[in-house]
Amino acid sequence: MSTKPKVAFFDFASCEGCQLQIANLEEKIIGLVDLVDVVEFREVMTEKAPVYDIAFIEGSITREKDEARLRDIRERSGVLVALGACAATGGLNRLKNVRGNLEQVRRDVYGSDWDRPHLETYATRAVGEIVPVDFQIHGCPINREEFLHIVEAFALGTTPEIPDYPVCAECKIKENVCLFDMGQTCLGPVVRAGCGAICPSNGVGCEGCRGIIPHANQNAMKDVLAEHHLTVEQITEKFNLFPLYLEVTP
Amino acid sequence: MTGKSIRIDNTHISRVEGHGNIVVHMEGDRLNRVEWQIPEAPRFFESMVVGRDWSELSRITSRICGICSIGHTFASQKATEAAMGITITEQTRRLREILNHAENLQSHILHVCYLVLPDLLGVGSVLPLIETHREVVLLAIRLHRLANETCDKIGGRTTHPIRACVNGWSMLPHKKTLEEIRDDHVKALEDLKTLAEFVQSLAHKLPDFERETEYVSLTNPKEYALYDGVIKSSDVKDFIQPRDYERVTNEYVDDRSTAKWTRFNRDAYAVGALARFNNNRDQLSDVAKAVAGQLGLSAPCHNPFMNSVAQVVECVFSAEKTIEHSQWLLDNGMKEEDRGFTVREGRGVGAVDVPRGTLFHDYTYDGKGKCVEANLVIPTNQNHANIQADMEDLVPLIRDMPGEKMNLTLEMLVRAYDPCISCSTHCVDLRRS
Amino acid sequence: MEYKTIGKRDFRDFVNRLIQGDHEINGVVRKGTAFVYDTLVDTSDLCLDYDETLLPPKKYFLPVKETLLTFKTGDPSSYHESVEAEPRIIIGIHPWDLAAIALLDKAFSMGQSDVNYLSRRNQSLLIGIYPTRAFKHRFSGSMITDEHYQTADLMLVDLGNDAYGIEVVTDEGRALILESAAVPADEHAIENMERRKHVVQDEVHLSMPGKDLPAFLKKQQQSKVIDRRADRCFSCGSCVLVCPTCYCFHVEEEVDLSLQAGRRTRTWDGCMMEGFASAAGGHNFRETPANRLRHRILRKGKYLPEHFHLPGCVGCGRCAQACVADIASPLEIINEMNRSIYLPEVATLQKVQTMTDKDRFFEFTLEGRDLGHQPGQFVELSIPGIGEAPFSISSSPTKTGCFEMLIRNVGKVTEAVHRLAPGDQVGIRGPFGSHFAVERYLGKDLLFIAGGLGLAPLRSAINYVMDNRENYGQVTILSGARDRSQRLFPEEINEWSRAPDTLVLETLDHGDDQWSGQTGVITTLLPMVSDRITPSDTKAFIVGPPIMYRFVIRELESLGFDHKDILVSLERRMECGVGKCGHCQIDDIYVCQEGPVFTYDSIRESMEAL
Repeated sequence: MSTKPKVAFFDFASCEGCQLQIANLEEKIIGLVDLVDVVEFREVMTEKAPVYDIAFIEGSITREKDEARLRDIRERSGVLVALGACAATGGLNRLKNVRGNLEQVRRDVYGSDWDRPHLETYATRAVGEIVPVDFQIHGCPINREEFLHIVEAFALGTTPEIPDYPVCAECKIKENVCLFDMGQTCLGPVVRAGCGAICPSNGVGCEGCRGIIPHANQNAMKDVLAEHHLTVEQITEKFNLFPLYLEVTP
Repeated sequence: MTGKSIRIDNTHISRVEGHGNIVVHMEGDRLNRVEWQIPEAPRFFESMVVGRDWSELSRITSRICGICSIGHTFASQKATEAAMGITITEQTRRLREILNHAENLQSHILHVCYLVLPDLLGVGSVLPLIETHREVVLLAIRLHRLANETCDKIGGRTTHPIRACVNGWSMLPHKKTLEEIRDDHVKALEDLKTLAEFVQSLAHKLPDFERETEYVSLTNPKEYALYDGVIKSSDVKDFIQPRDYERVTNEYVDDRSTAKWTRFNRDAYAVGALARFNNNRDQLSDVAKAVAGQLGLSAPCHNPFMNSVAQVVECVFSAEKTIEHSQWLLDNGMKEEDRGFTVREGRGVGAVDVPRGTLFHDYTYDGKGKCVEANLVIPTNQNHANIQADMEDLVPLIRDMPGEKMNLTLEMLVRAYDPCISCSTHCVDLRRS
Repeated sequence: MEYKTIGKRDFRDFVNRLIQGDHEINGVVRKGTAFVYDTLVDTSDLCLDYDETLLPPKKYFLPVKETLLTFKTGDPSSYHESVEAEPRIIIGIHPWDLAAIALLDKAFSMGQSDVNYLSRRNQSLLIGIYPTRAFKHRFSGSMITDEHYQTADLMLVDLGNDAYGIEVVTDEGRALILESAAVPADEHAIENMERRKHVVQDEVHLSMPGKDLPAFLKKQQQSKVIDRRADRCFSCGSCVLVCPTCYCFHVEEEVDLSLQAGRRTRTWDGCMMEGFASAAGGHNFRETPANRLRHRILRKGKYLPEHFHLPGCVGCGRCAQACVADIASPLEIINEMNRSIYLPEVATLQKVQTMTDKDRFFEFTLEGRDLGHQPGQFVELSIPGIGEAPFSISSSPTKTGCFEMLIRNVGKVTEAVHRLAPGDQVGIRGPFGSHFAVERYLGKDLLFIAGGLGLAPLRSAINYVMDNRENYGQVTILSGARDRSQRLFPEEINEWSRAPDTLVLETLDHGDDQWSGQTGVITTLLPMVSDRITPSDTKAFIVGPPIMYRFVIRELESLGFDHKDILVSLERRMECGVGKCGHCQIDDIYVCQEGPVFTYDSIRESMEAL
C-alpha cells in the first residue's frame, strides 16, 4: 500500500468506551498508526481533516441537530463504519425508547425545565437509520482484536468477515461450563459471537450487546428461558436491555 | 493592548472526553461573554433505569462512561446495597479496592500522558511523541496496559467490568493472578518514579494561576479515600453523610449546558484529584507525599492546572495500595461466597471518589426490586460551574496573549479538570421540588 | 494381551516422572463442576474418576485453530508449510473417545494424508481408561464403542481398590509402562479387570442394533422427527464442536498488523451452523436448520459408518449435554424415528360442532406441531379401552395449528368419539395413505364430485385450492346429499361459490318445499356443467358411497374424460394404517399404502376396486 488510508473517529451520544478501546490497544497503537493515518480523533488529538477514507462513528443519534453533523461526516468519508452497539443498533441508548412516552422521559430527567431548547431529544436512532453505513462493528464495548482485524481488512482493500453464528460456539471452544447448567440464563444462543464469549467466561450470562444474529431462533430462546423459570416480563426485559428485537443488516 | 477585540468560538474542544465549547467575546476591556458550554447529547440514564430490575442497574449505569465504568459500577452497586441493607464482605471490598485503584491508575495515565502532555510539549496529540519521545510513550503505554490488565484480571473486562456484582463477584481471581498483580505493581513503581521525574521537568510550563476554590471529596479516617468515605468540603468542618449528598450538590439547570451545575458554600466547587489531595493529603503514603513534594505540589493548592500533578501523585498511591490489597488477599486466602440476599424496597446512596471526583448514585426500589427513582450526580457536573468561574477570572489575565496561545491556555484549563462530559450530561432529579 | 497391575500411588509417581520428562503430558482435570483435558503440572491435577469432559481429546490432534501455511502478503511463491507437533502423552481417554480417534485417524490418512494431523498423532501416546462413572447421556454400549481399546497404547482399569489394572496394547505402551512400578497381573487380577471394565452401565439405549443404523436411516430421510426438533435449533454449533467424530474445519487467511506477512489457518467448523454450506453469491445449500440436522444425523449414522466401516457416532453423549435446546441427542432422534408404528401420539380436542343428526365436526391439535398431512390422507384415531378407527382429514394443510375431521356415528369407536368434549384427548397415528395431488395440477381446471360424506375428505383438497386460488383454473364443485338435513358445510359451500371462476351445484336425493335447488342423484348435475368443462384440461376428484363411483365415472367417460384424469378415494376397512394387518387389501395392493386415492386408470382393471 503506497498511501495509508486516512482514518477519523467521531462520537455522538455515547460513553466513548469504544473509542477508548483504541487507546487500550496499547503497544499495538504504534502498529496501527503505521497502517493508517489518523487524521482526526477529537478525544486524543487537536488536528482535523477535510476528507477521510474511513470514518468511525461511535454513539447513537438522539437529536435532530446531530443529524446534520453526521450527514456532513458521511459526505466527506469514503467508508463509514459504525463503531460499537450505540452506533450499530442504538445499544443501551434505546432503553429510552422502551419507556414509551418521550415527553415523560424528558420530564423525568429535567423536571420543569424539560422543554428548554438545548435539552431537546428524540427517540434514539442507530447511525444506519440516518445515513448509509458500510460496516457495523458490534459490541459494548467493541472487541479490540476484532477492530484491528477489520482495519487490516480495509487496509488490504478486502471485506472484513465477522461471525454470524451465536456466542455458544465460542463458549464451547473455550470449554466453559454452560451457564444454563449452573442454574443461570444467558442469551448466547441468539447473540452474535466475536467477543470470545467474554461475559459467560466471567460467570455472567450474555446480555446481547453484540446484537441478534441473522435468522436467530427467538422463539426457541424464549421457550428455553421460560423452561428455566423466567417470567414473560423477565424474558421481555432480557430482550430489550440491548435492542435484540432489532435485526441489523451488516 | 486595550481595545483589541477577542473572539474565541472553540467548538468541541479536543482531548477531553465528550463535547464542550469555549466561547470568549471581548470588546476592548469589556468581557461580553465568557462561557463554558456543554452541548453534549443527553442520554437520559435516570429515566432508562426506572422499571428495571436491581440486577441490571449497574450493568446499565456502567455504560454512562467508558473511562470510569468501574467507578459507576461500584457507586451503583453500593447504592443498591445501601437500599437493600446489604453489607459486603471484606474479601469483596478488597477486590473492589484493587479494581478501583486500577481504574484510577488507568484513567490518570490516560489523562496525563495522552491528553495533557501534548500541550506541555507543543504538539496536537500523543502520536508525534512516538517519534520524538518514544521512551516516555512506551512507559506510558506500559503503565496504561498494566492498569488495564489488572482491570481485566479482577473485573473480567476493563471497560464495563463483568465480574463485579451486587454483594460480590461472579468469579474470583486465581492466587497466581494476584501474585502477578502484586509483582507487576512493584515494578510499576519504578516506571511511575520515572514518569514523575519527566513531569517535573515540564511542570514549569503549567500556568501559574490561582483562584480560591471550595474543594469537595470523600474522606475516610482509615485511609486516603477513594472507594469509601463521607463527604468533606474544604470550607466546612463537619462531614456530611453520603445519603445527604443533595445538601452538597444542589443541582440546577443552566442554559449554557445540557449538564446540570452544582453549588455548595460558594457559587461553585471542584472535585477530583486536586480536591482529594487538598482535603486528605496527610493520609497519603510517604512515597506519594515525597513525589508530591518533588513535583512542587503542597496542600492547599488552588491552581486548577495542578490537578494533573495531583493525578501523578495518586498513581503512585494507587499502585502501592494495589500491592497492599493483593497481599492481604493472598495472606487471607479467597473463598467462594454466596451473593444471595433478600430483595426489599428502600432507598440507598452509593458514593465513590472516582478518578475525576466524587460520584453519587441514588436509587429507590419497590418491594419487587424494581427501580422506581434514580438520581446520579457526576463528578464533572460538579466541576462545570467551577470551570466557568475559573475561566471568568483567567480571561482578563491572559487577554494580552496572542490569540492562539490564549485559546490553548483556556483549553488547558478545561483539560486540567479531566472532564468526563458525556457522563455529566444526563443529570437528573426525579424528585421535583 | 499382556496384563499388569499398579498401585494407584505408584501410578501417580509414574505420572509425576512423566511430567518431569520431555513429553507434553495431558490428562483429565477438574474445571469447576466439569472436567476437561489439560496440561498436567502435577500428578495431583489428574482426575481419572470422571463422567465426561467438555471437549474430546481430538483437540490435541486437530487443534481448535492451527496454522497450515505462512506467507508474505502478495507473494504466492512465499506460501510455506507450517507443522507444529510435539511428543505428547494423553492420560485418561475413555474407550468411545478412542474409537472416535480411530475414525479421525482414518479420515486424515485415507486418500491424501493430512500431515498436520498425523504428525501430532504419530508423536502421541494414549493411555485410556475404562469408565468409572455413569453419564446420563452416554449410549456407547449401543454404538459398540464401550470396549474399544485398540487405539490406545495402554488401557487402565480402576480395580475399585487402590490399584489399576493395565492392558498393554502396543509395544510403545509396553516400553512406557516399564518405567513404572507396574507388575504382571495374576489370574485373580485379570478376572477382576474383566469385571471392572463393565461396572458402569449406560442409562439409555438405542432401540435397535447400532449396525442397523445405515439401512434404517436411509428410509428416514423425510422423517418429521427431524423437522420438529429443528424448530428449536439455534444453529449454535455446540453439538458438532463437542463431538469427538466431527472434524470439519474452515480455512481462512489472516495478516499481521504490518500487513507484510500472515498465515493461512484452519478453525473448527460444523455443518449445523448456518453459514457452513453457504457459497459466495449468496446461495446456501443447506439453508434450514432441518436440512442441517438431517445431514448431521445421516452423516453420523450412515455416511461415516459406510465410508469408514467404523461407528460414526460413538455414543459419548456430549452433544446432548451441550445442547441448550435439548434437541441434539442422536439416540433420542433415532429412537423417536424408530418408535413403534403402532404407538399413537396425544391430540387434544379443541372444538366440536354438530353438523347433522349423525355427523359431528371435530378440531384437534397435536402437542407443539402440525399434523403435516396432504389433502386426502387419513389418520387412525384411538380411544384407550374402546379402539382405533381410520378417519379422513377434512382440513387443508394450509390451515395450520390444528386439523379437522368430520366423523359420522356409525360404530363403536365413532360412538365414543361423539361423546368427546373440548379438552378431551385421543391418540392419533398418521397421516397415512396417498393424497389428492392438487399441488401437481397447477393451472388445471378442477372438478370435485362429492357424494354425501365424501365431501369431508374432498373439503381438504377444495380448501387447499381456495387458499391458492390464483394457481388454478376453473373450479367446479358438485355435491349431493340425501336431504336438506344431511347437507354438510353449508356456509363453506356458499363461500366457495363466491370464489372467482368457481361454480358450486348441489343436489338432494329428496327435496322439500324449502329447497329450491336441484333434486336427483348426483349424476344429474353433470349435464348442467358439460358445456363449461373441457375434459382434457380438467382433473376430476370423486369421493362418495361405493355405489356412486360406477355411475359417475361412466358419465365422465361419456364427456370425454381420460381415465388418468379421474381420481377416486376408496374406503376400505383400514386398521393398522401401515400395510401390515391385511384388512384393506384390494387385489394385490394395500389401500392404506397405495390409496385411498387412486387414479381410475390404475384400478380400472381391478376386480375388487369398484
